[in-house]
Amino acid sequence: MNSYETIKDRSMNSSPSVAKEGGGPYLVCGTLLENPMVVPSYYKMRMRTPIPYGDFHPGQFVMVRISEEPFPLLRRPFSIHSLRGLRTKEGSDIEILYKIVGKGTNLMANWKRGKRLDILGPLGKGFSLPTKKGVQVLIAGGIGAAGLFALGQKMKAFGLQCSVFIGGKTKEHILCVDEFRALGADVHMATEDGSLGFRGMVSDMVRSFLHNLPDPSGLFACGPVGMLKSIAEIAKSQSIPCQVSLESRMACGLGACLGCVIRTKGERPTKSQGETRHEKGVSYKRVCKEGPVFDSEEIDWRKI
Amino acid sequence: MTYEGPKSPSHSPRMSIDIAGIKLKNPVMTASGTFGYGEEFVRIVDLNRLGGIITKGISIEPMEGNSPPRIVETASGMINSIGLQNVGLQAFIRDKVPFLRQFKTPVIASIFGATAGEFRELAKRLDDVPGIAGLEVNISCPNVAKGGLLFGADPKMAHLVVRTVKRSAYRPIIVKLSPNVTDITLIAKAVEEAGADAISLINTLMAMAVDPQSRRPLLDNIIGGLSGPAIKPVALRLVWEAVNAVQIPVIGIGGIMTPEDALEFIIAGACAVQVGTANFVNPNACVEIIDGIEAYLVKNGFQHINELVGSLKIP
Repeated sequence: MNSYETIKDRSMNSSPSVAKEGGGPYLVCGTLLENPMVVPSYYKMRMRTPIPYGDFHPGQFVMVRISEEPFPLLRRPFSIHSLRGLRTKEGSDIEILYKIVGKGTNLMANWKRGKRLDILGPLGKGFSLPTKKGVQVLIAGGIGAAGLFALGQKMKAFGLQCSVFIGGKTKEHILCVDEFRALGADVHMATEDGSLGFRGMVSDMVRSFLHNLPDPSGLFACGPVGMLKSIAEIAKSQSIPCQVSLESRMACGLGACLGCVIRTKGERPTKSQGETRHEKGVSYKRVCKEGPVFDSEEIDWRKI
Repeated sequence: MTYEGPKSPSHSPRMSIDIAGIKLKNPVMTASGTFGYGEEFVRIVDLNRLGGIITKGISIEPMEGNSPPRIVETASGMINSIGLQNVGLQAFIRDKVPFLRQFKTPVIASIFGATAGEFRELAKRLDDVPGIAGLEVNISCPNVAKGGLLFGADPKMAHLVVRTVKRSAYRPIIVKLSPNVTDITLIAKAVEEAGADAISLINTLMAMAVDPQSRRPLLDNIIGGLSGPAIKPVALRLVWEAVNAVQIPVIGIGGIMTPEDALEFIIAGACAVQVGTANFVNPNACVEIIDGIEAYLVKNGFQHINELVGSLKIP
């Protein structure tokens, strides 16, 4: 086509870390369509963007600029919750589900319809769809439900059967139950205080559920690190493939700053007698580029 | 704002500069560690528009970097303790340089060594690599145990490292200085005397943040380097002091987010600037700063950027 193709192709060859799926990322100007509170301290923002619909994959995220001023400085990452509304080659309506946790999200909660938005995305590597038929088990902890819903939608489109587990501290932190039910999934809930559904940790509920399931095909989890760790252990003990979506403090979202890395079991270059060797050990991977979705076996869970 | 392939940028002659023989089409470069190896930004930024690209710092062997969490946002800034994670010299030359040299933008390799000998080795091996216009010698990283500030905070050590590199490199060398020193002029003069072709400053300011709830440090490394708009006034003061201490070109770095920020450094005497943390917030920051500087020159009747360099009016 033009020299752009050359640049793109070479960049693919020169580094395996360049995103292979989808187009983009794009730096675009979007418009806020709606931003309602769904339950106290949780908001759902829908925004119109010129990003082609086909370039999104469940599990990917966008980074939204909070302010033109120097504070708050950095963009905030949000997993794509859903694509609802405009879905064309020329543009898509992206929905994000977010919780107020600090200054940035506090400001966002006050944004009104029509506000112009500075959006970078789609970013990162999303979920891989299972190749094996059978029951897909989606596990969300708290705000983790945000990114898993996009996966549920995609699974429905591919005719895959889903069981969804949603956990939270109290019933006020259980999100997306109706949305998942609307997809035809059977939804199970767990709260630590027992105010809704199973009393206890969602991972315990998943463990007993899997015992009675003849052929679970895959686990897909997003939530607090403690929950992900438990789910990874269950997956390992029962030899079920498991993908986890991780969160990390992030600056650029593009793989440049190396600020968001997590420890993975990887090859580590070590130097002995002037020669570099690659030994099994710890290596750091970028949540924004090699993630945010990882195979749970890839993560070094000991120090996370 | 989407990337639609390389535009045909109109490179204004009034913006072109020469730093120790490196010809730049404009005075705006990407700061080391904030623009990866260029490829991370190629779908968003037209790399041909940039004045120069300073790569992520390279060491002889690959480095793992520090344990996470590595970054934390603070008031108008961020603290990082990346710890110079990088692919190492061999992979840099094999995988990264061929990509970067496709563009009409000079590539300056940032180098880091734990010893003077390592710096020499890096300089030697990079000297005949096509596509590298010059070296930036990083003697100011606050996040590594060896080297780094050990060299950058001691005029004698700084002199030794720079002289060693200079003897092994034909290409121009820029020495990147740390703000974490009592008197910047001593270091600036020492590296000038040792043969530096230019200096760039500042690297990050050593900093720390604590979570009062858990009473834990917010970085695993406890201490890191502060960057972003919060450090700009400090950077500007240090650049001003350095400009008055040395004859070699000074490149200003520190919290530049807008064209106005860059102009402050240029007026204070910096012949060029590097943009760092702004790339994280706005990937297209460099291009917007380039356009803004040029608009300023046109509007205020400057024929060339050099007329503005050091034009500070002192009462």
